[in-house]
Amino acid sequence: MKGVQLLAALAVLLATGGCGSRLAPDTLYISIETDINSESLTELWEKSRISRPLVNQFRALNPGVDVHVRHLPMGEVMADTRFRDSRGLGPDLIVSDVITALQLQQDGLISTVALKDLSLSRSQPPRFVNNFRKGSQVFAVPVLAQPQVACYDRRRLAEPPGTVKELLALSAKGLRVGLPLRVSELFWTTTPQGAGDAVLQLLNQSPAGKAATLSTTERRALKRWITWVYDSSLQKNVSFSDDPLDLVRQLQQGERDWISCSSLWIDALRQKLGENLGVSVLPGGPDAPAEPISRLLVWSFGRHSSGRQRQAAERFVAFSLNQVNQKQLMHTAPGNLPVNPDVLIPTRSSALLRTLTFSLDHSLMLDFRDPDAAMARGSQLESMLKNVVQGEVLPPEALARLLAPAP
Amino acid sequence: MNQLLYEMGGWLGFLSRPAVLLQFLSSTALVLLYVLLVVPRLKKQRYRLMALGSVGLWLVLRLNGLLIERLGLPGGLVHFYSQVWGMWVLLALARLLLLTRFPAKQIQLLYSRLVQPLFGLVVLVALVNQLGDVGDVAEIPLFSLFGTPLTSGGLALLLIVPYFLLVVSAFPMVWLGHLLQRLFHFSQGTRDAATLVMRYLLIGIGVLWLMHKVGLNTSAIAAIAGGLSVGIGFGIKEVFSNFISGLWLLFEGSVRPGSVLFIDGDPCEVRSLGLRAAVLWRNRDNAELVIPNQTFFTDTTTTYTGSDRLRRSEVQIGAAYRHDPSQVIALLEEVARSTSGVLPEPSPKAFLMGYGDSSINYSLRYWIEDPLSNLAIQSAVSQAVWKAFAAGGIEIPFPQRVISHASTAT
Repeated sequence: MKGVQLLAALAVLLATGGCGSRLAPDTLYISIETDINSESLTELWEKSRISRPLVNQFRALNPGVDVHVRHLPMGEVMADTRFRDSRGLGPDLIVSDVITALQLQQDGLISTVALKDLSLSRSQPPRFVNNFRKGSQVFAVPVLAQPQVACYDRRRLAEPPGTVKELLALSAKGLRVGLPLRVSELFWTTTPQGAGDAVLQLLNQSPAGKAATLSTTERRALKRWITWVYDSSLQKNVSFSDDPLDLVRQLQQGERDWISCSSLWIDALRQKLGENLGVSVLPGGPDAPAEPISRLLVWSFGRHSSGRQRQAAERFVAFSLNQVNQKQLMHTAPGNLPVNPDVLIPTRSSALLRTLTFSLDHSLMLDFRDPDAAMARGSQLESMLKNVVQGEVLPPEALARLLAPAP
Repeated sequence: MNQLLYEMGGWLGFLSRPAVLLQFLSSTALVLLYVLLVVPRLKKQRYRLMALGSVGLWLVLRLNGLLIERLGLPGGLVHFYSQVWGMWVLLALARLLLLTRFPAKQIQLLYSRLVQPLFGLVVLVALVNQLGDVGDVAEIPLFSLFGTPLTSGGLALLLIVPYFLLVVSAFPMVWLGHLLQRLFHFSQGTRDAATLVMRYLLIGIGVLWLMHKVGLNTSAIAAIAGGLSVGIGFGIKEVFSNFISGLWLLFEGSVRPGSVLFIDGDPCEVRSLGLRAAVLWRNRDNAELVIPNQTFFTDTTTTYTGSDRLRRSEVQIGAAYRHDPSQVIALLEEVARSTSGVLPEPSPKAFLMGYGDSSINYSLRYWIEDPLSNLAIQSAVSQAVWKAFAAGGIEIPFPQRVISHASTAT
């Protein structure tokens, strides 16, 4: 009898629990992807400096919503979301870069949202949102942009180089240059060699046993770029690193004078270098500015939220996109640009914001048909570049290997 | 602390999700059905049926997960429950197997002190990892301890590690003790002493590692330890004295686990030498005596196991004056030699001790191997003497008293 009563109580709980009770606060789970591979908790904790004020302000306006934020190193978001999604415990919201959002969408780990449901109190939708449209729905909503720029030490360099040729000339004179090995961060160096399309084509091809189909012009451009990377690595004062944090630390410690960096690191660099930190647009070709791939942070919605959690998530996204918060994020977290087109960016009064805006305006947006395959090809390309800069593989062989059918 | 409670409270929010609630309630309902309806019927059956019932529940939980996934809903939590239950069933089956090969008391100790707490800990950590992230939860700051912010992970380590250090350290150290005994041909007592000292060392190193891991301010601890030393001088000096005495006794080797001591007229075996006191077992009434270590340090201790384990025992007997003492002595020595438990070497010896009022008094002295079986062997020798005297016609006289009543005399 006692058992039957217990089972009946469970059944009632099942029938009523899913609808959500107003007695307990609503909970909103947010996963934030960071731009570092390492699992250093100190660094991850530091990251919450950006999210914490936004969460606190949202909670002040919505006291009935508890917000739980997790910061995950880059590369762990997919595995973590897959693990939690399989239990129904996935986050209600995920902040990640575009490639991760594309992967999440490809694996069916996120759900779409209608823009009109976001109750955006503006006439225009956020910038870049059309890249994530699927009919009337979007699977990701941009929130902040972090352009790729050049960071340098003013004590060592008075005027930043305008072109790649000037950069190498300066390095020949003693300027210590640090370049990243991640394809997305080194992509700007393809502009002067005209190899941007070839690299994108390479990343977009199918990895399943097919060779890249590049035109002769694209092959030549790709060869030029790989040769340029190789030649640069031969320079005494040019070094490459596959960890962006490593380059940042080297600039902070005075071991490098000029590095290619994400605007994300400007705040940390400024804390160390102060007024000596210079930020400029990345050097391009003689006729055209560099076209970097800028990092775009986007919101994605989880699949298993309750109705009330989904509403809270939509409110939070709309909250993060309103003019006031976008502006505050721009100022409190230097290096982040708003995607709300209604926010005026003071480019006249701020050289930094002018540089960031210029860089963002000339940036490319990643859009891969098959993001998982693109990631795999990107890793292959990075591995090849690493071999090239270490002198293990010469440019002609590297080109041949890159154009061979994928295993 | 508030942040930890906030984090843990947030996990309840998952129950507002229909997909989570379905998994939770369906699994709980199945477990309840098993506990309320199946277990009472199986209790009276043999343990094999109980084991089958447990495996059945695991299968049903697994099927429940597969069914939920078949419906297109997430079923990972149900699989987690079934894995936990499966582990528990495996441990129970392993216990049944172990009971067929090892003493029940040892297996009971192994399970209650190590296996079950470890299982509970693993399940707790796994559950936290399902709902949140153990790393994140462990980083939540709670309060300041000796000037160092203590995180929830640090607090958990402070609570859990000492327990497992005390319990788990025994197993590898016993094994290492056996290994050392084989290598260096230690005696049993030396091996036990070495095992205990190595265990203390391991615990000490573990505590130091724990303090370093948790990040406790060592300067503050040193200052507090300095203050405590005054307290030790007055308040808890007995505890400290016992601890030092215990260590000293171990190194000295006079009292070790396995030693046989003479306490209040009874031989007792040292079962363990702890931080504060030694536990001795008294054969006479199967009592365990807990004696502070410093007692052995300050008082005279009689041991039968100092240089060897032999004990010399004695039976006293009287024979009538008419019997030739040399015949009686030869018979007594022969009786002792033929009694089980009496060592042939050193050979038993009988002595004429004196001329009493009604008998010539003899003492039969012999050696035994196990000091704790003295009473039993003494009894066996005494019985054998009586039988041998009866068979040989040797009288065991006893004092006789003639009482005369005054009235009868007149």
